[in-house]
Amino acid sequence: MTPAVPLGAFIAVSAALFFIGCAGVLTRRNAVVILMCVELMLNAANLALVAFSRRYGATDERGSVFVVFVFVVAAAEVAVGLAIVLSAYRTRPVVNVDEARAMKG
Amino acid sequence: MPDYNLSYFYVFAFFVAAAIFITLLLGLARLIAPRKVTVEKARTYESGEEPVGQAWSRYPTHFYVFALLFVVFDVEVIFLFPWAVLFRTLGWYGLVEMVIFIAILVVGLYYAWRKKALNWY
Amino acid sequence: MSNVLAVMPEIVVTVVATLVLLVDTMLPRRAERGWLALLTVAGLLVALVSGPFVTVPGTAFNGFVQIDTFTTFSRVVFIVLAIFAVLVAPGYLARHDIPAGEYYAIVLFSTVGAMTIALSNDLITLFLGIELMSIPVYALAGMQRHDRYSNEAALKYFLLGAFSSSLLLYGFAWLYGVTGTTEFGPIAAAVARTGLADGPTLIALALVTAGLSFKAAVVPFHQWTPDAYDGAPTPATAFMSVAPKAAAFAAILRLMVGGLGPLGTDWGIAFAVLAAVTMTLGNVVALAQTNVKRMLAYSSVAHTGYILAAVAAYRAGDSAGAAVLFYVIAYGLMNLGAFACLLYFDIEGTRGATLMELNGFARQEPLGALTFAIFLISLTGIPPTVGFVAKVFVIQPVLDAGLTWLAVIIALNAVLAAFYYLRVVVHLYMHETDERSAPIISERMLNVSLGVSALAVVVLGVLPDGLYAWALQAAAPLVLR
Repeated sequence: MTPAVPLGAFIAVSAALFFIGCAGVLTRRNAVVILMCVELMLNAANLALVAFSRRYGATDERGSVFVVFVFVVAAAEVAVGLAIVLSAYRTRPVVNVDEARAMKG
Repeated sequence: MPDYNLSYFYVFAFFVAAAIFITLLLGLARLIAPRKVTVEKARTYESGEEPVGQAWSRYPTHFYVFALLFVVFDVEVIFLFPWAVLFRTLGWYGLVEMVIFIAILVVGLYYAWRKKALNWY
Repeated sequence: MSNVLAVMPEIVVTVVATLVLLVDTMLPRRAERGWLALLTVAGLLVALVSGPFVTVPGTAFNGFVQIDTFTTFSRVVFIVLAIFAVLVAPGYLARHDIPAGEYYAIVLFSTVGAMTIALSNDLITLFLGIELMSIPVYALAGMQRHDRYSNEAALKYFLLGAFSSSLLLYGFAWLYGVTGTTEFGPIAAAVARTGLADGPTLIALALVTAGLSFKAAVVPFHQWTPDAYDGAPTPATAFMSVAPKAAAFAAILRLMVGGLGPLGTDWGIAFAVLAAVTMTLGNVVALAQTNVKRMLAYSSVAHTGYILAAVAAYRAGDSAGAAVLFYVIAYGLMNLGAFACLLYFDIEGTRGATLMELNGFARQEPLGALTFAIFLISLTGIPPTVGFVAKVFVIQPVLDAGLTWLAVIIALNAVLAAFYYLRVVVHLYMHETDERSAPIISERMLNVSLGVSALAVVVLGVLPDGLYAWALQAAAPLVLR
């Protein structure tokens, strides 16, 4: 019998993931790295959802259902996102967000 | 100390034991094994092919389209699994729903095919 | 089966989108793509009429979906906006070599997402709707693939959109953790019991507010707006500036007013302050713009502020919700129209016309200039246009809710906005055509659709009562009794 890990431990990991992702989005300048950080944030939310879902399992299992949909949405987002990054790279071989500043004002 | 922390302690103890064991063996080998460096031995792959060029090279972005189509069908499985588990409970309603779901994906694949996204050149 | 009937309009739009893609592959490469636009519009009309006939009020899909007067109202709004966005596009798409089938399919998919938001009764449905609405729009911004600005717009829009989605999702996860449910009704009951007593509820509320503010382009979460609107192909901008914003406000009404209504005293004041900052900053920066497309982008930020003011006045009851819905329709018609009027000017790339390039437009294209002027006057908020009526409807609940200072700021901003909107009218009518004027394109489809929406702007400005009564009805199920 494996001892139960308390809810707080999951939430702590999830919060850590979320803040790493958030910090990455705000500080990194490479579009692909930003995308990866966004995925990290989504997965932090997934972890939190699963943890809460286990806690409320007796009354409401919808958190787990939510996670399944988030996976699919994340895949769709990455597909479109990478296409956009690729397309941007073709017209201007730079993936740094800093250098994408043709428009200002 | 709650139970679950104890299980982490076991993992940690195992980790420490492994580290000590490996350090011991490697240190012993370093002390007693003879060492003789030759040209052959210093190569990347001893008695293998010589590496050519850099490991970081450009490859066709066209791989991306295939990766994308793979992701679509890969993620589809996530919906197929719960359906497979509850196959009998869901009955015909579930079957029809899944057929529609896959049909939509097939339309996407058909579109990619007709737009020549699957052609290598 | 009743479940399927409940979402019939959404199913129809999805089928039409798939059909458009299939037909697109069958047409020869250089075929007349106007048929695709007609197919799209016909499908949207079928969805429009199918709504009232087959759907019955109530919840469906185990409480994931809710069909009420708000759903019906929003469906009509989103479909009408999509129809206009499709009708103004064909000429531009052909000239700039943008794949028409993909454009229409993307608009349709995004519309399905927006409609899903309106019928959501659960965090899962809401999140799916928001993503289905936004992901296609990212692609829409980058449709002009060989244009640098279009790519840059798509990149910025995508990165900030994805970031905001993940903020929102994390907020949803916490909301689920705090309340133990994802359904709006039980969430409202749970937060009504606990209030904002503990940290987790505060975290959830803050994250959800920030995420939705990004989607609606509320200052300080608006930075993507000008670049995304400016760089995207102009017909795409016309759609992007209205449908996602309307959808974001549908989400705010459903979640904040519906699900988190019991915490209204907490987010209400935050929204009031954000609204004031948003409208003021949007207008002040718009003043400095010489490019009309970018100016309209900033002005759309300012309009977000007006709508948000009505949300902040939620305490006034149904009239606040009705004001939001009425303003969203008014904004949709006039802003889509104003961006679409830039399609008259044949300019390289995705760039919009500058003030100088508008010179003498009224001489060359009197009707086009008239519609443009009507949209601008309506955006300013001068009677007898729908823009004026919408502002009056917003100010009333703001006063009722005791936010007199906010009403004053709205009035001051309307005066500020008049300056830059009317400056465009001056360039249209009072300057002669010179060497700086841009070449003009005249298309029947563009003329007709802009004419119809300009007519709607004036007619609704004179006779707003019917629509307002309907908006009141639609707002009724949102507010908790």
